Amino acid sequence: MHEPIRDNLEEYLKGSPSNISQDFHAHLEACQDCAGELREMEAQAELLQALRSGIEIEPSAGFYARIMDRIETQGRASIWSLLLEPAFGRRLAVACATVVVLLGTYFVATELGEPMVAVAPAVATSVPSSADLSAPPSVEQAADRNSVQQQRQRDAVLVNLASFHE
Amino acid sequence: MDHRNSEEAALVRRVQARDEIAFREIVERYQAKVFSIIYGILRNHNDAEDIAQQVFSKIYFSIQNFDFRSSLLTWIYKITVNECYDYLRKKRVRKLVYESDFTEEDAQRMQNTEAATDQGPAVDTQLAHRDLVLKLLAKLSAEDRNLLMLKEVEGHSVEELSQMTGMNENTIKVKLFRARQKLVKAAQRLNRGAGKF
Repeated sequence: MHEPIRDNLEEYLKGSPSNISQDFHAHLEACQDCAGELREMEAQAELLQALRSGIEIEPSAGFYARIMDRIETQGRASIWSLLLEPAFGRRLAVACATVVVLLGTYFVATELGEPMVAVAPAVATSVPSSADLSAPPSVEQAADRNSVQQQRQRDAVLVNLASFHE
Repeated sequence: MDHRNSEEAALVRRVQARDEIAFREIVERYQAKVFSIIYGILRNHNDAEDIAQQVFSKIYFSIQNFDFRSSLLTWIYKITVNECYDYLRKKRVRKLVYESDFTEEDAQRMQNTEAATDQGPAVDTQLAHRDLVLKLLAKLSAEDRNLLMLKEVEGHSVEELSQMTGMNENTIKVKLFRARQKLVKAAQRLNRGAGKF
């Protein structure tokens, strides 16, 4: 459908000839395609009016009470239906399984902390040399070692988690 | 038109705060309209009551999501029409022709109905028209369908639709034009599948 018809379509279908431009009528006479499509749109606009109710309907007595009953029933059911919904249930199962695996991995990694440290490259580079070990440790060195020890444990857990995902 | 500062908006906010008196007011204000929309589509009093209950139940549960971009009536209209189409989909009433199960055989039946109603009572013609138009509207998106129905069934002007939906008049005109074009194409496909009716 071409522009002169498209621009005036609603006015034409509404039956307001005063608001329709001259271009519209001129184009309509010249363009058979637009004339055909316009006829179909007119017919459909008329067809749509078959959906007009035409009568005023009031609900029977107690309508509001029946709505509230339904709301109460649906409100109660919605919590359970959410849990029983297959998609939600699957997600819940996957989430639970993931949490169990992560917790299990964490506990295993905590118990077997030392062997895991050996595979962490960052930890290997942070191990002090034998020359450092020959000197008596100061308070600062002891604190450093504690910090290194904690870092090893954290690294071990991270390495374990990373290898789990791979 | 600003839908946030109207008296209706205040009522909606009260319902959003779970004020049951306000909800009752909404039910009383719109129940006749909702029944009328449903009856226009289904022509069945018993189904109208059931669907109307479902519509107001939906309104109660989803009014928290009402964002005041459109009027409350537009929002309720959308819920009501969608609920009618859901009902038609679920029930699959064989007497009523609608949506994707419209086969060549159905189209042939429609052709026969049209021919028969030429001499028959006018009410049959109206029923056949209604079935056909429901079938064609089912091919549109919910937004296109609602807009076209608000225009042609409810008789709102473009200006009124602009105020009701919060869209400007040109946008409304473009959307209506596209919806009408889709409807024409759906009818043409129907004709191709069934011969001329």
